[in-house]
Amino acid sequence: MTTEKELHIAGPIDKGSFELLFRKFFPALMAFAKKFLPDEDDAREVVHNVFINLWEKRESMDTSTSLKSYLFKSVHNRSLNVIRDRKKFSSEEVPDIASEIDVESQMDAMELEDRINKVIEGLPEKCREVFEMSRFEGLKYTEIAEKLNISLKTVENQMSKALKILREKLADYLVLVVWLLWNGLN
Amino acid sequence: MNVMEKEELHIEFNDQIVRYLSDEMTVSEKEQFEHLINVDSEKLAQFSAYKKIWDGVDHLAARSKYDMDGEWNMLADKIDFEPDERINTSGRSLRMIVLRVAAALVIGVLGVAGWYGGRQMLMYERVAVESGIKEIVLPDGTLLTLNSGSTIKYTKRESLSYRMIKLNGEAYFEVARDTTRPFIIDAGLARVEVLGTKFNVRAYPESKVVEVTVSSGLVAMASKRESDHQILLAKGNTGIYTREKKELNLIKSGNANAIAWKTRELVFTDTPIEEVIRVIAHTYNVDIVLVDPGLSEFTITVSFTNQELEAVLNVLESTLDLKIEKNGNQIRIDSE
Repeated sequence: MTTEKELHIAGPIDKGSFELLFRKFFPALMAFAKKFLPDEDDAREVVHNVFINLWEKRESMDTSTSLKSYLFKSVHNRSLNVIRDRKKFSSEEVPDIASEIDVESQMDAMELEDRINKVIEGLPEKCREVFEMSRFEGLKYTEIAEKLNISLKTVENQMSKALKILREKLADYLVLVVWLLWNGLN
Repeated sequence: MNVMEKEELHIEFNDQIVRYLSDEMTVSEKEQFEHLINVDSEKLAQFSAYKKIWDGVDHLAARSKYDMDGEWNMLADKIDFEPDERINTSGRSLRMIVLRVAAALVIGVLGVAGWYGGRQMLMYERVAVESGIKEIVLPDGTLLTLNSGSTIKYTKRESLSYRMIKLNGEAYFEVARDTTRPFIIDAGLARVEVLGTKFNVRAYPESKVVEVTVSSGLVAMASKRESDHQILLAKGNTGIYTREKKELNLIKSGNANAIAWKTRELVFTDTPIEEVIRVIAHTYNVDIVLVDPGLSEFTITVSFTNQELEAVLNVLESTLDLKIEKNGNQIRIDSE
């Protein structure tokens, strides 16, 4: 699948663009690293090392190539290295999940989540508020109704409305999601 | 069934899906719903479409759980960014200005930087002291005394899993106890992590070393580059990080006068006069020159408690037969 839009940085990476890159990709790279290294701190160390390495190499870095695929591939490689090193010191069987995970599909998943994010941001104000409280803050309907001083029925209606809009706007992506589900990413 | 009725049922079913996915159904409602989609393939297809979006949203929610300001700080802490980011106290010149300003003057208490981190925004507070000493209480209750020519930057956000402060210059910390949130000081190239309570950090950008002296509790000090190598400092210890060699050293009986700039308590025990002069100059924020190089052989044993500069100089003058004269902002020490 071709990427909808690629992140391009004009000229060499400076501190500002470096921070932007980090903020944009960190969560997705963490999710990716955790597929190999379930421990949060292990994953964070790998992701940090990838960014530290990028910073150190920033002058020789060709920013016309895809930084995104560079980052994902680096996290992939470093995670595999960590697993390999651990295998050496452990008699335990470390599950070989590495071969089942594919960098491209991971990048596509991030693409889709970005699309979902955009649709959510475009929802009508009230609708978005209710939906975010439910899905991002994990509040129950009754809690949302109380906080916003609206009826339970209104919360339900707004939630249905949000999902309906998401479904309409993401119709063309649903095929992809099915494929992701089959790849065990949920 | 007419079209209207069918449409209504369809809407009703959508609501049910959303309530099911939101886990807002009672046990019996759930069972009914599951039965319904198992016997009706059209409804199952409709449900799957929603479920797929729902899972995508969950992924997105998991992604946005990170506190991106904290995450960025954590990474930035491991990288030596060039001085462009550092606060504009170009050491020497500022110290010169300090000498000419008599009164204590706080030049700014301002929120400076706003970063957009996804859905959240963070303001950094910045406090700079150009001349004199300023006491600051941080949001967590930590008391901080900031010396002349020093700047701190910190965030007011309390949701972070640690407390982080950037220091350029010198400060004495009395850290409020909170074992769940370590207090971390970013002092140029060195990193200080606090396990206990009171200590002094001297990290002027123009100095070749970063010096940490502990007056109570335990402090961990590490280089930002190799954060796994750290030294533990106890009461009375001084840790010194040499910028050039990137070396960390622990001195057991550390700098006794580390916080004299704050307390004006000075202790010298067989201390070479050059060192005495250096300490007095730093304590009173003045410029002192030793004119006669022959004097450097002398050592001094004396202590002062909260004395004015004049009184200190008078004692030195009479006990060592020195000639001390003030020349503008400079104090010159010569042999009699």
